[in-house]
Amino acid sequence: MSKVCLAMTAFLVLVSAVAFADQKMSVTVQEVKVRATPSALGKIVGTLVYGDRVTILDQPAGSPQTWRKISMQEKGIQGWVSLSALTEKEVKLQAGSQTAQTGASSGEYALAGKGFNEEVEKQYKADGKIDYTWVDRMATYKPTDDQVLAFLKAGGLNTSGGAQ
Amino acid sequence: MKSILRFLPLAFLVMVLSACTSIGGGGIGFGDVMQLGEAGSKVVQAEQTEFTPEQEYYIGRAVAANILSTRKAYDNRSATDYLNVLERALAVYSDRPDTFGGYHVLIMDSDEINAFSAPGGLILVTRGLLRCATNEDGVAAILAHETSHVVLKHGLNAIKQARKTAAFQNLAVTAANTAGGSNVRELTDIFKDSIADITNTLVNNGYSRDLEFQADQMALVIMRRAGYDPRAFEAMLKVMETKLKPGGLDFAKTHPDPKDRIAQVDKTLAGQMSVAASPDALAARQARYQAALGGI
Repeated sequence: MSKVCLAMTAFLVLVSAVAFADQKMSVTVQEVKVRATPSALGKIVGTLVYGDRVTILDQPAGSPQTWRKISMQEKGIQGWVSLSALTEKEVKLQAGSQTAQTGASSGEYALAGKGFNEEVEKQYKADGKIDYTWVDRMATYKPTDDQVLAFLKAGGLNTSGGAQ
Repeated sequence: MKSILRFLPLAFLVMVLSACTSIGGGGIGFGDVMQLGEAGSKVVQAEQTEFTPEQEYYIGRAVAANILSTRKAYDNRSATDYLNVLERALAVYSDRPDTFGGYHVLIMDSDEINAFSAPGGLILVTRGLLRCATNEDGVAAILAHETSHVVLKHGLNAIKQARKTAAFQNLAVTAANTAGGSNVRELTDIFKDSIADITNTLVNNGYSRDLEFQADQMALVIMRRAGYDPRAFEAMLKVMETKLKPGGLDFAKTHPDPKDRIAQVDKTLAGQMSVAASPDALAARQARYQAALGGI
């Protein structure tokens, strides 16, 4: 009985180790900054965009659960990204488009971009004569890290940036 | 012994499945299926069970545009900038600091006590609601609550199941069709109905009491992480209680009675240490709050 348990554990550890070593994830947001530390306000070491495929590196002991240490060789970037910006699925973009495209080949799930996308929005706007002026303006309200850090600091708030 | 071995593959499968679902926001869940393609090559067809962050983004933009088609924006740049810095300062302490297009706040020029969180992070808040806060911590309470609706994807959950099923069936067919083919017309019709579901919930019916309480509870966590005093949430609700008019078409209609929300918040905060701040820090917060929202 105990030998079986031991064998099971060893098998699962081995399988997990192999899976971890090969783990890749894709960026699932328009743009995300890669940080030197697992903090949304940590020093920026690079920028990833929608569809970028990254390798998940070993997580140092005690790393926050909601952050992953990644590398992207093509861009020469290594650092930390919040899990909320990543997906396990591969995202393939249409050439010259911000919209993702399905590649229905072996092993790819990439459904992003096939559903409600830019084309659907265009049609929806035209159908209902919906005005997106303020929505587009809202998208430009993007405070910088420096602004946010200065704001937190001056207000005596937490400047760690969310690495709970 | 044999019975244990029989369950080994099952145990392994459960482990793998739970590991898969704990990571990432890719939006494809348990319904993923593999099928063999016609030519015998392995083609993966995904049966999508939730919207991807990209789809959520387009849904949120349409919901916000819809709401703003009948409500006027309050064009005050310094107040808007202040709220957007504060929103980012809170979002980094949420469990979802990154959405597809990010979090953005707009003030609506209205005396009613109202706010709408469109999926993906477009937050619309009225001047009337902002007046329920008497300091920055109170404004943080308002925004943390709205942010929590986004983190918890309450807006997306307001889309009727039939609509989701239609959208995902459409996607599955499209995914298998490598030659493409336009189904924009059909998708736009489903999209339109989905936007109507969410807008109707936000404007008319409101979320369930449970979802509102969930958002309140998560807001308290975000505030505490950021360093704001969660008790300001209760203070803000007390002001709201005095201002809400029975029969109003705003939070009076779509949210639980502030009394009930206060009771829930009280329960959570009882026994918790309060978050202290130095007099200088509080003075700095009050000064910038006054400068940005004093005349709201």
